[in-house]
Order: sequence, then structure tokens, then C-alpha cells
Amino acid sequence: MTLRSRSIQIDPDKCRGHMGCMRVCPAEAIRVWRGKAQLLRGRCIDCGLCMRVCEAEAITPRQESFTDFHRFRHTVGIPSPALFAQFGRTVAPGQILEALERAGFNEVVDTTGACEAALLTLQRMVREDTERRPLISPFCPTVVRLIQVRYPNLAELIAPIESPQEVLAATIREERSQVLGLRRDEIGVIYITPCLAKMVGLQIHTRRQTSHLDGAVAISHIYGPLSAALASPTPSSKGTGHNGVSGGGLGWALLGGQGASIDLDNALAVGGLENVMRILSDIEDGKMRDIDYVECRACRDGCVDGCLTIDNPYEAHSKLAQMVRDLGTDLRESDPRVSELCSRTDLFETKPVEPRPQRTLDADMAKAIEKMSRLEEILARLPQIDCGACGAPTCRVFAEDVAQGLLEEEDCVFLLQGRLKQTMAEISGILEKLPSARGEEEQP
Amino acid sequence: MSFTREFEIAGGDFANAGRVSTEIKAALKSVGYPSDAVRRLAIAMYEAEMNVVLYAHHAHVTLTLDPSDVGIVLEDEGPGIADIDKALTEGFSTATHEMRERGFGAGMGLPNIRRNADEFEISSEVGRGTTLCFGVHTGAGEATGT
Repeated sequence: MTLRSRSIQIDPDKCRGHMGCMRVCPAEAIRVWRGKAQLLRGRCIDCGLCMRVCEAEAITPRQESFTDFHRFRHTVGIPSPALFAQFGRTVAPGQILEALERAGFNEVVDTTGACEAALLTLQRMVREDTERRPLISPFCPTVVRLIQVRYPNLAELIAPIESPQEVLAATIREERSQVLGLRRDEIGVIYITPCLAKMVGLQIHTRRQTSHLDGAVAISHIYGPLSAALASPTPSSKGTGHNGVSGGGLGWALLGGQGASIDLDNALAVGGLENVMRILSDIEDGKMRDIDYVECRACRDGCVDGCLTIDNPYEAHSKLAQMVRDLGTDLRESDPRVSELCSRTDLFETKPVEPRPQRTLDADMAKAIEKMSRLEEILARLPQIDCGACGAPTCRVFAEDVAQGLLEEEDCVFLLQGRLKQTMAEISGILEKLPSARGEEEQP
Repeated sequence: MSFTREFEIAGGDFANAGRVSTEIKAALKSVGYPSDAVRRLAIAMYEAEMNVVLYAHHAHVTLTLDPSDVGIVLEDEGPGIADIDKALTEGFSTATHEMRERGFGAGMGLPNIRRNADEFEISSEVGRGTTLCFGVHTGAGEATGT
């Protein structure tokens, strides 16, 4: 038991044991024991749902403060396209890029071109690889992690493509170290992220050992300084237009936007983890073989709905969709920057995602089967109303915890009540046998 | 050590179709069977469950787990199958127009189960029902088998 995963931390002093986090966690990673939320080691998939529902604000992202990046001689901020949806409708992407630079970076580079290059790579892969169906989108790190641990046999269906921010970071480091005459490690490429999972991706990358990025800052974290910078433009402030930001790249941040810009007929887009899990289960059952591509997003509305964003997701969606309409969804295949990035197949094409099955009852199969019997036996005695009073999200999870030896059956209030009744009956049975009780009975 | 668990499937219950195969799949994953075995059994079980939902009145399913094998016995009460060899032919289907409209009845059910299973047996009595036994070898714990 711990109070930290790779992506979040729980402050026990703030935790009021409300259980919202426990109920919402799709990985069944949270328990509320002795009135405080705790994490089961290794189960968190970094979706951030717990953080969203915690009213006590006890759950926070583990992040580097963006002042920690002073160790670099040259910092480059690369913002997720979701950032552009966080401000008023009259604020142009160019203004945001410019203000972001003043808010704390030596340089800011737009990521939408890299998103287009990633989508063009995906388009080529879906057309060329007709064997594996449906191909699953590789870009949501929470979904990739979910598939690795809970749907391991689907790992081979994930399109093996690197994320655009990684490829962009690698090329920025190559170019800047030459132009500025700096060592590679003197350049810090920092991702401005809408979600926890992309922050974690830097520490434990799903496909490679290390990330090309040097750090990440939450949109919610930089929002204050960025708003201040936007409110006080300098005389030299340029960038009132789109400054190279493209509609096709912005669409990357919207649910359905990835499939839409690569123009596939048999594609579907699924947002929200519970919906994603239903679709993944269907794919396992062999139901989706006539679908070419499934875009799965942990957040209901895609990256604009990330747990580290500020604006409400509906407003953000509407704004970003408007920008995409204004700029057009076409991918700029002939744009020199985009085609140069596309040619970097050495960076974009990765090894297949490895399955990492977890959540088995025991490493030894015979013991796992034994525990399974015990689990079902315990479950049969439980009320199966998922009341949560034991600190587990469902009766089944509680039975699993008991079978694993983490809890005792009497940690269930209903089983405890039964046990108490039984003990009281035994005690009153014993009381009946006391000489005084007999004496009273025997009186005429 | 082996483990047995029973399930019921209701014919015509499209709203809950797939629930039993999902539960079985979850059980297989928590035991930690190799993913190929889980995948094949999941596909076979889903097809078998859909056959019940589409054609039968009711079915009783027994799942047996041991380290080297996963076995399913599915006994249904329903119309039965008159010509089993024909039903096992790829592409043969008795699905009605309505079923096809819903995307079923490509005639892949039984052949698909047989293709994905390592053990497959079927017997049927017209007017009574069909009993289907299929299983997957997990490639583990061979030393324990005889």
C-alpha cells in the first residue's frame, strides 16, 4: 500500500475518505482503508479520474514545477494542441505561442505540424498493413497502458507509431544543438501537457527506454503565468495570427479528430475509459474485424478534456472545433516542415507495444486457480450490493482482496453482522446454561 | 486443483448477450493463462453465447479451469441441429433475415468455435437441444496431466 503512483500522490491529511476516487478508478487500484485512500502498487494507469472527483483536493499530480528547468541552458516549450482551446475565442494561437515564450521558455515550437506528420504516418500504416484489424490508435498513453495490463492480447493491434511530441523533441534537440553550439543535454525540451499520462510517459516510456522530452508542465500549472503574459503584451509582441498552427494538427486533440483527418471509411472513435473498455472487450471477442481503425481516448472528448486542463471541456471542444473549421482539416503533406518530419521514419516507427499482463491472482497458475475458488466462495456469501463500506469498490474486488490475504472476511459489515448475531446466539445459549438461569426455570 | 463455475444464458436476451463470455474472459485473465489461450477461448465462447441468444431458449454453462486446460460445457434447450455436418460447414447459416439485419448469421458460429478450440465435441437432438463441449490447452502445467 502506498500513497503514490507514478503520476499522482494522495495527501492523507487532506483525504476525508469520501470514496469517490475508489469508485471511479477503472483499474481498481484504490482502496479506502481506515478512512484514507490508498493505492495498490503497480495498478494505476495514470488516467487522472480520481483527481477529477476528489472534492478534498487530496489527490494531486506529481509534477516538476516549471522553475525546475533552470538546469538547461536553452529551454524549448512544445504545447499540446489542447492548449489553444484554453483561452477566449479572440485569442489567436500565435498570441498564445508568443506569450508562452515570455512565461518562461527561451523558445516555443508549435506541435501541430508534428501531429500532422504522425497522422500521415498512421494513414500510411492503416493502408499498408491490411492484416491486423482493427488497428488501435497509439497516441493515448493511458489507453496503451490499459491494453498492456488488462487486454494484453490486443497489444499487437496498437499501431506502432511514436507520439508526435517525442519525434518533435528529438528533431529540436538535433537542430538546436548544432545551431546554438550546445551539448544535447544543455537543451531542455518541455511538453505542455493536458494530462497526467503524458507526464508519466517521460519517466517510463511505453515503447522505448527513455523519452526524448526532458520534462512536462501541466496546462493547469502554467495557466496563471500564461494568462498574465497574454494580458500584458510587449510592444514587440508579434504573432496575432496562426503562426503555422494547422487545423489538421489541432484536430488531433479532439475525439474523432485523428480518424477524421486521415479520411478512413471504417473508423470509429471512442472516448472515456469505461467506453474504451467495452470496445476493447468486443475486439477481444472478435467482433470488430470489419473495422479498420479504432481511435481510443481515455478522456471522453479527447485531449481537450484532459485532467490537467482548465477550461470546461465542452467550451474547449467548441473553440477548438471552430479553429479546425476555420483552418481546414487537410493535412499539409507538401509543407516542408511536415514532410521533413514524415521522412523521419527512424523516429516515428517503433517496436510493437509489449503486453504486460497484470492483475493475476498469483504468479503460479495452480495457486491462482485455488485463490479463484476461494474468491468465488467468499463472493457467494457477500451481499453483492457494492456498498463500498469495506473500502473496496465492489464485492468482487473485496473477495479478491480477502483471497489475497489483504483483508479478513469480517471487514465486510454484513459478514461482521452475521458473525455478531451468531456469537450473540452462542452467548445467550451459554447464559441459558448458567445455574442461576436454571434455578429460575426450576422454580414452581 | 481445478475450479468449476456455472453460468446461465437466456435465449433472445440481446441486451445481456456477451455477458457470460466477458465474465469467463475476466476469470481466465485473473488466473494468468497465456494471452493466446485467452483470446481463442474468448472468441469461441462469444460465438457459442451468441448461438444461444439467437437460436435457443436457455443454456447452462459449466466452466472448468485447471492449469493445463480450460473447458466449457454448454447445454442448451432449444430447437437442436438437424444436420451437424452442414452446420459445421463454413458459411452455412439458418439465420433469418432479421438476424442478418442485426449483423449476425454469417455462418461462422460453429466453424469459428471449432477453429479456435483445441477440443471440440457437439451432440444434438432435434426439438430438445444441443450440447457443446470445447476446450483450449494452455500449454502450461503439462507435467500434471496424464
